Amino acid sequence: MPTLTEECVQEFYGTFRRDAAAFEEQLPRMLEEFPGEYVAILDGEIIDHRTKWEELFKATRERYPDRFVFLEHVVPKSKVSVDMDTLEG
Amino acid sequence: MWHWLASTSNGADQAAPLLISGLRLRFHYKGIPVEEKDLVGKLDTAASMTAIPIRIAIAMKLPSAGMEKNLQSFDLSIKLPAYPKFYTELFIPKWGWRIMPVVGCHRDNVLLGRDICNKMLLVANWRCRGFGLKHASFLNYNLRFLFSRVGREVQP
Repeated sequence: MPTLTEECVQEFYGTFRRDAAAFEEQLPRMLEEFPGEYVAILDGEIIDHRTKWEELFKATRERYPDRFVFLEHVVPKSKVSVDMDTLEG
Repeated sequence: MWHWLASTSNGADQAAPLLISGLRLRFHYKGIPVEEKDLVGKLDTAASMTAIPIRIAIAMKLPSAGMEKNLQSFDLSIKLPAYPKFYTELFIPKWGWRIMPVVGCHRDNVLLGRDICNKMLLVANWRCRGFGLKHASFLNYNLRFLFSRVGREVQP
């Protein structure tokens, strides 16, 4: 497994934050248009949505094999509790 | 997953996190299995989800499973507004492979949360000072027998 530099990790976080923000921003609209489906976001844009995660994953990996595509379920989000003291180290 | 409590010379019990070695992560990329072996995991029953090192998740090109927002500690503190979530195959020795969503974050080892404890029972062997998690279904008959006896004995 190749060793990743901190720059690669920060670059990933940047991509993730942008796509997650796009999801948050468009969630109310998506909840009206295709509730319960799975959505794919790349570069802050919705590129696909399907009823099954597996179908969406296969389609996006085929089209963008080397890119991280943010996949998320279009449902209202709830909070999750994790022991943060141990989560990071 | 079975562990032994070592006896100390002075008779004092030493507390330490429960570390589980031999964990593996796997996923298929372009039809080829990509695997990370010999990982160490820390069992944390305070964590509701399992977490893996973000570096491994990125390097393995694990598929996105969305995000977990507002992950909170017991004192309600929040470190990041959202953590990336991935799907992976996780191998736990003697339990085998399972596909599950995990959180990716800055850490060196795997944090095994309560999601891996579903349908498991914490059992102890007092005679040999061993303990571990066992599939509840394996012990279903024995437990029903035990609790039916306990129920009869505690009735006035």
